Amino acid sequence: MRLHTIASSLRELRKKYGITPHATDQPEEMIELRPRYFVNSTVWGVRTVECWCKRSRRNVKAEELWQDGIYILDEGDTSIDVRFDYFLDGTQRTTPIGNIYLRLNSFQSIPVHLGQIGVVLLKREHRKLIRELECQKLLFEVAGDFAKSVGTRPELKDDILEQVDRWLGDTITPVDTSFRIKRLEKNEKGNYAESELVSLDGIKYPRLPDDELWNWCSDPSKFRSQARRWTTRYRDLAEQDMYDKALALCEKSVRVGEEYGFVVKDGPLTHVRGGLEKSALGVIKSFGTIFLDQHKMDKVLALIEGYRSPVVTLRRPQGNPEEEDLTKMKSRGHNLLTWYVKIRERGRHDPTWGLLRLELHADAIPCGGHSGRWSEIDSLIIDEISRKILEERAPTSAPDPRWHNLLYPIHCCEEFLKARAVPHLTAKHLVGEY
Amino acid sequence: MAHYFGRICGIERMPCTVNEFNFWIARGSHDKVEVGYIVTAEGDENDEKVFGLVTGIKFYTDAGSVLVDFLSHDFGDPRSHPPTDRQEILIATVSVIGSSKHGARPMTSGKVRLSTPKEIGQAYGMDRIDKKVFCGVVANGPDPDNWAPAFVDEKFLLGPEGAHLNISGASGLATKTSAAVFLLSSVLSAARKHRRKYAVVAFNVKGGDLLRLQNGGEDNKYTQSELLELLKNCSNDETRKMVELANECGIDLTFGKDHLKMFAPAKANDIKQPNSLVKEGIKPFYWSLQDVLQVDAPVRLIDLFASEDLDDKAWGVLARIEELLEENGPWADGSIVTFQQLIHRLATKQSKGFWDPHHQATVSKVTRHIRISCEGILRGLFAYDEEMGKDIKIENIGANELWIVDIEAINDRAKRLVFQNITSRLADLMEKESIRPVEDRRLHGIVVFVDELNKFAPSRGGGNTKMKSQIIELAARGRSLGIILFGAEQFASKIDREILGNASSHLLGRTEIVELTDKAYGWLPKDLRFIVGNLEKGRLLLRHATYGQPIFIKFPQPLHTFSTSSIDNLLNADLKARQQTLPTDEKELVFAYLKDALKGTRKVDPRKIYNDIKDIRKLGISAEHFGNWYRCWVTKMKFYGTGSNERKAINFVIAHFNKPH
Repeated sequence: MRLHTIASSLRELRKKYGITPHATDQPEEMIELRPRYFVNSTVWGVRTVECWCKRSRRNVKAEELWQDGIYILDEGDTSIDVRFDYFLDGTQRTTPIGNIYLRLNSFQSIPVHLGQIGVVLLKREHRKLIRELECQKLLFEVAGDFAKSVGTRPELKDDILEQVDRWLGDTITPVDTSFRIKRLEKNEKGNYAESELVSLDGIKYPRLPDDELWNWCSDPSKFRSQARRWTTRYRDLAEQDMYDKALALCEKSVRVGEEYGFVVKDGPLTHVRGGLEKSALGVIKSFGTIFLDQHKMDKVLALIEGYRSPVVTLRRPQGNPEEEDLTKMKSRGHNLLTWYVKIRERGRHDPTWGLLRLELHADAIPCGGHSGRWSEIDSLIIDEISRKILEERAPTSAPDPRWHNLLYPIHCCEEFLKARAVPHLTAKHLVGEY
Repeated sequence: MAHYFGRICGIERMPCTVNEFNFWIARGSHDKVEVGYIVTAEGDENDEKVFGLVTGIKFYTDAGSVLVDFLSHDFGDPRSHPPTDRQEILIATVSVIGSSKHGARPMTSGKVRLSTPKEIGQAYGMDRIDKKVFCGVVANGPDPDNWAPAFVDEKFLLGPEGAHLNISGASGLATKTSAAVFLLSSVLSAARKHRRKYAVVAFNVKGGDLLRLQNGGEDNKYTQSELLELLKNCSNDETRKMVELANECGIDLTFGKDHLKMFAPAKANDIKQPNSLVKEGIKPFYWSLQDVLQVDAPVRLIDLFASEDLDDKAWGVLARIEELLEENGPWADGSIVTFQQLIHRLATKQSKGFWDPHHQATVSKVTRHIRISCEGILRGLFAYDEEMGKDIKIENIGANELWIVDIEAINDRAKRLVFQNITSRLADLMEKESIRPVEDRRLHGIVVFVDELNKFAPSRGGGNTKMKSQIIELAARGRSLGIILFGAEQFASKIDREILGNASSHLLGRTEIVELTDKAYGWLPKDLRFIVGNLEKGRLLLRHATYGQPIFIKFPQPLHTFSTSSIDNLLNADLKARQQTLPTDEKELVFAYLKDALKGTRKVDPRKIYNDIKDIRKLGISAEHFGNWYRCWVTKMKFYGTGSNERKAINFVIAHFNKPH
């Protein structure tokens, strides 16, 4: 469906529901201040597993390896073939496009948002990137059930989201933000009637109480962040779907200990489900979540170019950081391996300059993430992966401000998705001028 | 199915306008587009098409600065290959030529592909031309199947709407003369087709190119028909396609002897011989004193002298001489009919009182000048001691005829006199023709081709002003009279602006960049200048009055310019191509025939066969050479080499021995 068709339908909706368009000259609030999470290492099972010392060619205590970091720019083992064949990244946008006044004689309103999700998988062949898979989705986000429930304007009795589904169902997904983003816990099951629950990907989410949403009316940023979180939820789903497809493509490209054809994912593997993770490599360039103790983190920040940290295990927490407190998430399931690599000299920059954290499934290396079985070959594989990541620093992603640790193919994923997205300005005008 | 290689893109800094649009070139199609190609943009939502000429191509990567790219290559190592190639893009700029629907608005979005031959015709309005003159081939893309014929409008090339053609370009590289020869044959063919009567007068001012027009190759080893047949069937796709297109458009690339006449001034020491590089088929011409004394003579006695040689007093004496010699004049007694007699009379009678008020010294000076001119500089063109001249009967030129006047071997002053004489008479001829009803005219127009035009009509100073003004007059008024000037020169900037401005068609071959910065090339888009500065031989840029944009064309090489080696190359390539496709048994068949033919003729001396078969000798090969071939055939049962002559020779041998003796 073309944008002008969407616009014309949205304008019909505007007439029907009296959506007041958002002022189009309002600056976009894109800055999201994220708190730093300090995760207790015991919660996520953080433990150093690497114990092979290249210098002394024997197993040593993990603490010894933390002293100086591990140099990776030596000759390496040429029998290990590491390739990065696929690159996966996703983006999202949530744009306020209008407001719906709930009552005829008051100014309480709820905002309408247009959410955009884009996920792409790029394939690298002969040093050229080509699009392998792509998913684009538009979301119409409004607290529809709340409006229907408390709105006194007669037109609000007709469900707006149903209307969206009828008119634009094949293009836009209606999302009711009256529902809580946190899933229904077992102990809450009796508290909600079936009509007060919404299901997404098999998970049920309960309806927020009207009182709370009334309070949000006086603080519209709450609706904004609610819409944004629902967009993230949908993005996670789309990303997960793409990730599963990517892993299926890579299924046969891994021979543990010898050959690795990875899907490189922007961000942690931590939040992702899937059964073939050994062909996935998570590349994390932000350091919002810290799970190493201060002493080790100091060592990480002091790494110099061409060095990496020893490998630690990280049990993948099950859950969604959008739903719950990350620090309280329980760690379950398979182990992940993670380590830091310094790909650029820090110079006079921030200590995180040129620093990357990599995540790998523990089963991807012969020892399976058990420190007792760690041997030289495991260290060589980790070195080879780190070395290949280091090679990816060229070409640079400049002029992106994060170019120092943004891998160029991931940058291309972002640019591709950015180019495909409906610009904020256009999105704001979809329901017409004020 | 059309191959789309790009898409229109307009951004704030580089918007699409009514006369220009940009498109990016798809990955993998970078080699499909070049500057000078004609492309078609198709709208996504309607069937509107916009045609344009690619005038520039730019290359970008997503590197924010050169430094970024430098750093990305391992701090400036040109051999380093990062694991991922940068995102790179080629953006082509296109000057709009026209569109399928008339509308003054820019193309908004659409896919871009190479224009088809039909669309090229549509873009340049060639499909709307009533009387087309084939002027070359638009080599749009590497595939000759996509090449299109280029046409100019006869009304704008030969009048009456517009007229004249100017060809400029670097010597030796721009193939100006070859282009002119091709266009002359095209004009004559078109005239025949359109039932119009046109003739051509060409002045040969350098080399012998125009004098060998009827030759088949430089060495004239083949007839033009044979050579043309070879080109039509040769394995070189480009050559074949050009000849094919010319043939389809009804162009006769051969010059028959019946329609070709060549003249040259007589030799100074032997007026029966032409003063020319080529002797065969060239008729000498010369003028006598009688020819310059007639009142309406195109070249008068006073024209024989350069204006800077004589002062006013001397002009007075010359005028007096003309008075004395004119009909019923004191000297019109029949005793002075040659320049020799005139000089003699001037030398002996000067004290007899004819000269008042002229001074003796002036008379002596004029006498000396006449002697220098007629006995020296202009001797040959002017017969010194002949009573009657032998003129070119230019008034007799017929429709479809090409007359060549070779003025290469004579000096500049003589060249100008010949040019002045002939063009004046042509103007008179056409003036008389123009007052007759169109259908009764013997000629509708005459094309005058002048090479090295800058010599006759320079842009500033120099040159004979009378001559220059005559050419300017020709350029300005010739159109209405039916005299069309085809001029060629190295530098258009060195030609008088009026002549250049009056030409409705311009052909531009490879030209120095410095020259291209002159105002004379103001019509040339800036981006195309570089291309024109590096044009390959045989490729020209054509601007025509009815075209929205200039167009790059190629043209079939004139048959007389093929060198022997290039013909041999064509033959060999052709033979190789045929041998590749020739079934083995067919080759074997030739030797089976030979074996059969030679039955009972064992140990025949090849020299005897050579002497017996005239056709083999005609091939121009030696007896020894033939002997080598023959021995190879009968002993090894295979060809000695790959030449076509050998194939002809074996056929002659088979035919000879198959004859009943």
